[in-house]
Amino acid sequence: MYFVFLLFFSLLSFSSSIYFMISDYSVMLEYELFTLNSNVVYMSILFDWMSLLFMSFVLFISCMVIFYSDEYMGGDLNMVRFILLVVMFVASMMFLIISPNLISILLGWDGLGLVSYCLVIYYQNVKSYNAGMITALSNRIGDVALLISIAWMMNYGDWNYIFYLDFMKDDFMMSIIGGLVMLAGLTKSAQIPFSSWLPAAMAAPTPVSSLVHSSTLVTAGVYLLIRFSTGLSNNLMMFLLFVSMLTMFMAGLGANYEFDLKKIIALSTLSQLGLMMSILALGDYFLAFFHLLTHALFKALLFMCAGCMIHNLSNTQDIRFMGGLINYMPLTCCYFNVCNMALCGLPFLSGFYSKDLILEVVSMGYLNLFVYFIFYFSTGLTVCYSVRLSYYTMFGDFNFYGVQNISDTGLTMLKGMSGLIFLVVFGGSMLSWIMFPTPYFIVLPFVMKLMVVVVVLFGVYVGYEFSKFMISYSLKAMDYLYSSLFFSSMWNLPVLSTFGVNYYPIYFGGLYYKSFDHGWSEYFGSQNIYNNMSGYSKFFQLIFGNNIKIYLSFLVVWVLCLFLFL
Amino acid sequence: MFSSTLISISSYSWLGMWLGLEINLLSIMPLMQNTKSILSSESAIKYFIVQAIASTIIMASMISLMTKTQMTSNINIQSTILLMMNSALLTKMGTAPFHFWFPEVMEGLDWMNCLLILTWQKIAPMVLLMYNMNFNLFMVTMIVSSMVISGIMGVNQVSLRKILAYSSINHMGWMLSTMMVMETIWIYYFLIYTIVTINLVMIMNKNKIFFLNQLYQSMNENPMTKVWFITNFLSLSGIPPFLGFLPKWLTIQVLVMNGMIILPIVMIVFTLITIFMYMRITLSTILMNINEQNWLKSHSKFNSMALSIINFIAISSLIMITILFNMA
Repeated sequence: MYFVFLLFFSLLSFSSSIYFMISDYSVMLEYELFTLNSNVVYMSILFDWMSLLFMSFVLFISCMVIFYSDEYMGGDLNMVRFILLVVMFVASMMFLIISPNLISILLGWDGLGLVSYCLVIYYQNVKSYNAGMITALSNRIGDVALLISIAWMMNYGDWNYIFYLDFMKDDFMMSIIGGLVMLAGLTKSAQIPFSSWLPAAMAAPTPVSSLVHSSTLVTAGVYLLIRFSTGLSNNLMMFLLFVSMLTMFMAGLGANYEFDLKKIIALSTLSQLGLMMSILALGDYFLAFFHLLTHALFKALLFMCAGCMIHNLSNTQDIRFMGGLINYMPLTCCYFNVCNMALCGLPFLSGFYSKDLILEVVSMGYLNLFVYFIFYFSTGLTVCYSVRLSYYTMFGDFNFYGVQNISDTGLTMLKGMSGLIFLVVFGGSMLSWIMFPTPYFIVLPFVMKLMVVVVVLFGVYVGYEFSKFMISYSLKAMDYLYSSLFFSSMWNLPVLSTFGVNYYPIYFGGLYYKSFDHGWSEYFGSQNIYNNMSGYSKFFQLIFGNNIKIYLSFLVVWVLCLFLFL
Repeated sequence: MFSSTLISISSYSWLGMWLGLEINLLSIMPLMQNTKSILSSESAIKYFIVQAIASTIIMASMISLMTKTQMTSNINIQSTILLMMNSALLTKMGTAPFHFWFPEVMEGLDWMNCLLILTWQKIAPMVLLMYNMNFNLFMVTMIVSSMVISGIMGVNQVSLRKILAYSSINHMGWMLSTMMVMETIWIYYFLIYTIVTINLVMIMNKNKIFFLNQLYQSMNENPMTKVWFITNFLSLSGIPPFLGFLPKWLTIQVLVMNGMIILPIVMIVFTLITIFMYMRITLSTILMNINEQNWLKSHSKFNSMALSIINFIAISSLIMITILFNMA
């Protein structure tokens, strides 16, 4: 039932978005909640073409995911709870997309963090609990940054950031707000140094990964930064560029070493997020939005295909057990292939339009060699791990058990996936025809234009060579153990984010508890004061218990003294 | 005795005031003597000697005033003589550091006489004190020493009469501080203090409680008695939902508005110690329910109408007065 509603709303908002785009029309509804002396708290809803288009994509993907999870999670004891959580997630995302107001963004933002925590810990084992904890706490940092920026924005009297965007670069306080919002975007979209939660959150069920960790939750950060992008200052943009490029590079490297299917796809998501953030940091938020939309489509479908494979292989996720699946699950592997090619940027699929345009705009820009190199190298790495993944799952040797039942007969799952495949193939071109009224004007020298093709072909070759090996090969990585451990474990970020952050506080907490709370505080505070008080009390009771003659004489002597000074 | 206080308050010369004080002393003497116990006559003698010495000093300072300034009224008085007179008046009230007679005298008397010394006997000296009160170092010293002594000494007491004596010393300190700035608050403070003390003394008189260990057992037959006792006792300590908080609140506000900031801080900190003492007693009383075989069960039921009305006023007054103040 949810499926029909979501599909209807998705189509409705898509058509509205096109209408709004053509007639350059936007609607803002405001409801005044209360007034705090001159700050007015509004609940606002902004409908312009960008929010409606994003909304339609999110609703469409989520309706396909709910349809798909009918079979994937079929027979699960808590199915109702799962569907309700997914619907709550979609509702939070709606709140985030349509709000031009920091406070209503907070509603959606916190809702996203909370519901994604509930979804990650859905399978209740220790690994899921740990994963959920790191997801929730990393997202919480962003929530706190957003809350602080709300508090700072009280200076300006209104929380509708839309109205302040032109003014934000010149003012000092607004640039702090911009910095805080950028921090929130970094944590939500899992850039460095907050990127350890994204691979860990793969402990969630696959429909959740498909909806949440590929297209909606992690793009919420990018969406917020797109909304704020005209207001962020140049220094912030430089920092953002640096961080997101490093994320892109690190994720691309890490995915080449991984053997867990969902983790590879998660690292691929992370790499593409880095790409989105970096093109945003170079100033072109329009292209970032375009890539966001196309990436959502093929990444969701990729996760769904992965889920299909995992489901059929009795829940193993390790790609060393897969191989030759093309013989048994032809349609699923076909979809998987198409998505992988779209990810690499095969010409005229949807990923090509956004990715190639980004790379060409980058080549035309005014940058240094480091930025250029990282962009192209990461593109090559993307192709490399995609080919490696295809080798392991599809056309390598068959590595699973002898007795198996791998087939493509899960009709509900297939139908769910088929809904998206049309958009994966044609969506990029359709969107580019709609969204860009005039095309980008690209003039490049011949070698730079061919650079993309060269890098892609190189990636294909390396990926293929890299992944085929026989038992008699010796592992070269053993000679460079430390560096390969460094690259493969995401530059040690998971360890840094958990153990590094927690160890010293807990250790010192115990130390301070023993030495202050049970130690010196008692000496200077409660027990010693009490002991002193009772000591004085007993002492004075002893003294005051004397006879009254002494005190009366004291009074008389005092008066006589006063009398003397008359 | 009542008329003696009225004479003292309403006279317009020092002589009339002194007259009232003497009549007060003489009239309370027969009340204190109780042929059935030796202890009360000892207390009576102590009380008489102390008050007589104080009255003598007052007389001496009056005469010095007359000879020094040729005036019998209180305008522009020399401060040393004032100091003498203030010391004597403070002794009459039982304020520290002239308080040493107070606990011992209270220990020997029964509850009705204690009530008299605690409440009625303080009116006349206080009113006289208001005539020659100006803010000086002497007064502040008295106030701070009242607080300190009541705090430190009160912690170690077992006898309820002594506890009430030290608490009255504490409240004397607060009342002195209000007299320095605004006398209207003194009336409120004194009124509320009197009401609460009357409640407490009535309860303890009825149940013949003189010591702490009698508290836990003697109020068990009627739970309302316990509630009334606890309410009044905590109200004496000045904790917010009770009536006793109101005068302290007014005092602090008026003192701070007049620029004295350190004095309320010191007063509050030392009152905290007395609050600790009250809390200790109250907690044990509420939570402990000791039942022993007691052959001396009192047969009277608790159906005193007057006491119920007074207690009702005591419990509900804080809210009622706040509402009344805001409506007017």
